[in-house]
Amino acid sequence: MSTPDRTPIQHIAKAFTRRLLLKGAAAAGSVAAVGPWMLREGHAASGSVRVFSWAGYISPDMLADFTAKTGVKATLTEYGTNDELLNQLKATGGAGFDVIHPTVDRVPNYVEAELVQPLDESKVKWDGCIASAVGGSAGMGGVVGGKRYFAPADWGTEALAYDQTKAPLKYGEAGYGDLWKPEYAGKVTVRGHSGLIGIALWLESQGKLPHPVRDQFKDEAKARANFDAILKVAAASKRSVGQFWTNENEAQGAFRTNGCVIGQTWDSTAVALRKENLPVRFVAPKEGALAWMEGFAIPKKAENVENAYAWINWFYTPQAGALYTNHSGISSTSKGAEAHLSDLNKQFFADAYPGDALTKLWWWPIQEAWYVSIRNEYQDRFLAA
Amino acid sequence: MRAVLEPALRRYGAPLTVTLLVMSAAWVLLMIALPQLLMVDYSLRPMLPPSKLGGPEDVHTLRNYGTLWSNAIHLGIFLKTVWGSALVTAVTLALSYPMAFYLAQVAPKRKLPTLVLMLVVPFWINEILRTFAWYIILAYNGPLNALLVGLGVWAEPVRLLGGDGGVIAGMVYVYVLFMVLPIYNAIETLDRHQIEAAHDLGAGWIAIHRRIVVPHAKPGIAVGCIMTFMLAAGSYAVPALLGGPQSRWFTEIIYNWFFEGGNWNQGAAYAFILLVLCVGFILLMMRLFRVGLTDIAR
Repeated sequence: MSTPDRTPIQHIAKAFTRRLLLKGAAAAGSVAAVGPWMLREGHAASGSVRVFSWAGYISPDMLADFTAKTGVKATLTEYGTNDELLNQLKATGGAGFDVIHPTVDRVPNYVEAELVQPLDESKVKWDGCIASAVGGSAGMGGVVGGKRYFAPADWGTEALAYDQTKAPLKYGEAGYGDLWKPEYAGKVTVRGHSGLIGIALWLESQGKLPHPVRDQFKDEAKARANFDAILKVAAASKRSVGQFWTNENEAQGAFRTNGCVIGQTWDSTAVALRKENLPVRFVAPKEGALAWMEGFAIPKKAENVENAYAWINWFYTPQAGALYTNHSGISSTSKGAEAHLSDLNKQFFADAYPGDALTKLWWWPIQEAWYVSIRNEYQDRFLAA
Repeated sequence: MRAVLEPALRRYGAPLTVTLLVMSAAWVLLMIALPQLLMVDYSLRPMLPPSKLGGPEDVHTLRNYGTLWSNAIHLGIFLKTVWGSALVTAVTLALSYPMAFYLAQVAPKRKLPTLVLMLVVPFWINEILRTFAWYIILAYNGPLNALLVGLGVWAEPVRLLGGDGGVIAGMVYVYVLFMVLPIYNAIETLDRHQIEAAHDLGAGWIAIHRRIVVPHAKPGIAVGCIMTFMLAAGSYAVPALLGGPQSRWFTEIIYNWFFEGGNWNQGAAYAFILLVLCVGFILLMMRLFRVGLTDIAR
């Protein structure tokens, strides 16, 4: 974790904040309070914001564009998994960053651990975000206890990445079960815990799972019954796995240097490899691609809250959204971004979700802390099988 | 205590002695004792969300330690880590002893700086980068596979990463210096004449090493083994990069408790068990080689 630059301006800005807090109650409504308030605003606009986001998501161009448009300096720190973000933040009690970039289904974890603060909805320019993303995120974990903690930024999927010369797939026929075909033995890459869910959807489509997949996220007994059935298949198929991945770099490495020809990966992995002119393509399986939504939240002890809102509102412009998608290959929820997309990204999207693929997306249910620990336990057993 | 304090007082005077003592005590307390105590405290409590901290469920328990004994997978990995680290130590010793002996007794003095430099140069690079270099060398599409396929040794690339072989090779490479230098230091103080005398009296090379060089080098060997074993048992980067699910190291399980499972208390218990293992190993090695703490500090 990088330590933030402590410029004199920041110190002054902080001092004003504290003084303001102390005076707050006593001087409410007093004209004198306007002075420091205005000054603080002035400093905030030329201050900084510390962004903690996924590795490979935010490009230097984006940081430069943000600074050019708002006058705020942005520093970026990266992480590789949701759990890395959650536990880094736990270590500091929610300090060290002004904006974080969690997945919506994990936001309740942060609220339970008291690491994030509710958003002041009047400060967010919601017009810049696709309305269905804002509305939909509420029931997916973005709103907890009636308070909104989450501003959607992007959505993407985990589906089938394949080498089109060595393991060609076709939409409508390809499914999660294709990963475990004997001809790909030793050349498959999956992530431990989501690989298990891929197998779950495959089993469910054949009617071989004790309970519907969605139910295992709500009930511990059903989760265990399902996972036991999934693990049996997973353990028998494990020989097929050439490499397990846990983060973006490892998933790309599986195809680039480690001889894998098919895998269950994020869309961003396949875009990055396609950009390098590798013959890797990406398609939604017939059971439905695993879809997730990510967005911005503000940690409890953020120091530059105003700038955090500036970051979110900058992101909700078509240009920023397009910069993001063109760099990462992940669809931003910024309204109007699609008009600025590169040809490669347009083509990638069309290839990945032909026909009815978009209506079949399988959105990740909320993953509560008890579920995450069961998930971790079975992932362990899968890895050790 | 008196025996230590009096010479110090004579040499440095009271103010400097007190300053030195206070500084050392602060270092030991703040940097070593307190973090360990915090970890022990963590390991003895259940994992709870902040709202339940200090509540009726927040009690001391040994449950986190029990988890290891009831989880066959983790216990297996724990034992494998002990065995793997011992293997790494043995291989490193087998490689380092001849090197150290050559450097200390055989190599001409004017060549010594060049040889030591050659040993040290790789260590100017960070351990993670050195491990990544091995990752590239051993990769499926990497240079080693390309060479062996090109030479016709293999018809098709072989997966060299993800097994025990890669992990052990990587660790031996990364830790070889921690074994060579202490042994070199120990052998260097051995008077050449002893070896020559033994030789003149008709001792073979094996007997010379067994009865003269090894006994003399014992403290160095013990220090090298202790360092290598502890570094190997506590290594995270090497097994994470060069290993796979079948060659998981206990440190990866600890990392997993902290960063995937989110159960720090459980992770702290596992970490403490690893610490106890390392201390136990050190005591065993010292017993085995019959070296005392003073020999090592020499």
